[in-house]
Amino acid sequence: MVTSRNLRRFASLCLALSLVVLAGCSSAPPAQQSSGQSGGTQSQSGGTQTQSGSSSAPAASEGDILIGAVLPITGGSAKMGQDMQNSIQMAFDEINAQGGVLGRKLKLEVQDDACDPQSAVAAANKIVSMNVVAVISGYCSGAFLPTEPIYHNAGIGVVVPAANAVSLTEQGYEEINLINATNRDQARTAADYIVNQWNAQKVALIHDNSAFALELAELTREFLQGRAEVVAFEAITPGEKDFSAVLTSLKGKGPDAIYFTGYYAEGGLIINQARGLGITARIMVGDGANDPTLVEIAGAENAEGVAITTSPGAFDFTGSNEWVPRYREKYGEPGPYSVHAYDAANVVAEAIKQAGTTDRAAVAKAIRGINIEGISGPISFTETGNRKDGYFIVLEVKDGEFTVVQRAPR
Amino acid sequence: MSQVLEQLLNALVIGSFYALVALGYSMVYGIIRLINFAHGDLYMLGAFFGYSALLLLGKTFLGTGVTGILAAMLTAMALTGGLGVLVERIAYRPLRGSPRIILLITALGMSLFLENAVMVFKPWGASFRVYPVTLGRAGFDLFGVHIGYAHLAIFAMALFLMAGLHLFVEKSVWGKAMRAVAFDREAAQLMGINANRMISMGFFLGSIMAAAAGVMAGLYYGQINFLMGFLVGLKAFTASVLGGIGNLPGAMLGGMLLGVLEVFGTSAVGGQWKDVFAFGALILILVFKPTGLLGERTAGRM
Repeated sequence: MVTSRNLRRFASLCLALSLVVLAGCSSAPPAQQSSGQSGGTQSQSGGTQTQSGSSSAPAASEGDILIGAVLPITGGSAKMGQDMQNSIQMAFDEINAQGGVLGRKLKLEVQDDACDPQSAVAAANKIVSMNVVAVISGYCSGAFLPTEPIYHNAGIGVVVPAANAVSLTEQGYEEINLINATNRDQARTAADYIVNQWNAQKVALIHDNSAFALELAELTREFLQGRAEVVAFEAITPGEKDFSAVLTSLKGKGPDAIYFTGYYAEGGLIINQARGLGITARIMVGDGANDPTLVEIAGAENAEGVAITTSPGAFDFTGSNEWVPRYREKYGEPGPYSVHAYDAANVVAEAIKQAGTTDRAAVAKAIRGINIEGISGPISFTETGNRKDGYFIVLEVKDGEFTVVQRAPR
Repeated sequence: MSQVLEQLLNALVIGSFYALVALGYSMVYGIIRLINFAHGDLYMLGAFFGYSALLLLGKTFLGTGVTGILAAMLTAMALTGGLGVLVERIAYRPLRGSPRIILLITALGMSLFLENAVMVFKPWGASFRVYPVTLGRAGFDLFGVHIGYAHLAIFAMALFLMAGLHLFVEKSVWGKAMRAVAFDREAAQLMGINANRMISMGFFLGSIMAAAAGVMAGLYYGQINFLMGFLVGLKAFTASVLGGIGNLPGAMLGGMLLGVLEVFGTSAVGGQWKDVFAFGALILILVFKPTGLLGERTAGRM
């Protein structure tokens, strides 16, 4: 018989081992640089440098300018995080190939927020403690929001490529800048389209209880007030696959239009299951659901005619005509926020150039005052950090493809 | 009225998935008193094996018709079953004599490990995967209720699998040996039963049930990802406690009941209350009948 002490020792060893393996898995791309500093094990510091095309060494060398990125690398939104990381790396590689900024090379330091507030705060603290000059962060609004004070206290300028909850810039921090228009613009666009284009009398709103989706649904309800009746205001659980119960009871209320404000995985299933139940209402989804996978999950015939409110993305940029093939060559199909992440990277680079220094405060100030031509059009920020003249567009699925049906006036 | 029937159909499908996964929880608990929190991830792995198998088999003479789907399902079940046995062998067996809390923690670690392993595995990855074939929503109307063939097929398949498992455990020599190990491992060993092999068999059977549910969920919903096992795992655990953990008919009953509870709870008060109903039921049953609906107070589980 083995003594319980030995067993316990063995158990803790197993646990520790599995934790090491987990840590290696969950933060595979970003963990490299940090493990180099702490003299980490060999198994961790090897490989996965393939992401960065630059010739940077694992440890932070003196000459490089470190830029932080806090993105969802794991978790349900991992794909979006990967898309965005690719774009930022691509922008940095291009800038570095042309001699870098201030004669130094840009180097990306990625941390994982997993779209989870707790992980995001930990990741933000870590990024701030490193010698980064500016930060690109924010896909999930709910995860990004609690990190804002951390960046503010450190005086680090942040460019947000995707998150767009109204509350993000309501805090009044002078460091936070959104590449996107906000949820309020999106809600207005959605409500107008539903009422004016579809002549809907009864509207059902479905959200997934995340900060972002709930806010969008609530704002849409406000904008619909007096113009159409909101017959249902329902929540679903992200990660769930079966929404037939909600949809069946929705069917009884006979809505003309359904607006789902959550993300594409659930959006696709809702479209699929709604059509399966014989619901004929027009369906619209928010920008979180803007991904070609939506059509795949829903099934092409079910998705036909579905509308999407979205920031003008890779699908509607004049500048993206030559950008998309350039991206495709390196990383395959761009995601809905690839363009925004690319623009965010360029904003940061340009701000450092204009500041003429890597001093955090100076760079943060330069970001707020930036005025450049991005792939997504001219980029400059208002006093509160929103994008000047930001707007949303509407796409519709036609023959399985996203087609622009409404461009908002600039 | 027709809406109630329609909801009942929805409930049967959800309940089938819960019941199949719950069987694994119950069986493993019955034999070695371990709540295998990695079990939901075996459901996820089954879905992914089925996905890859369908992609590969679809190119052969089997195609993506009924034969192709069945072949893919069997492949996924075999692979997941093997993996379930492997998980027991490397993660649980070395710790079998240790306090239960350690086994529980290992199970949680295993769950995270499996999820992340699928995430970093290149052909599968972090993004949502769309199943190469999906069951159509075709069906027929009966008294104004739309009854999908897919609903019926899933329910029938689940019943078939559950009946098969029940017969195996109750009637076969192997099942008898498993029950003997569950009843008293040492006495069974003294009678010449290889307890390790029986425990492996329990894991194998539980895993193939979960894998079948995973493949069917993939075919039915059309979309899978590496985190899909988490919520289903929790719900199936709830289902098995509801029916009496360690009790196989209880797991089936619990699964179906949970499906009904969720669906009618949702239609009564709204979607955001769905999980409240599921886990509220768990708390109630733990307070008023901790052994579950069909659980007995004494040993003799399985």
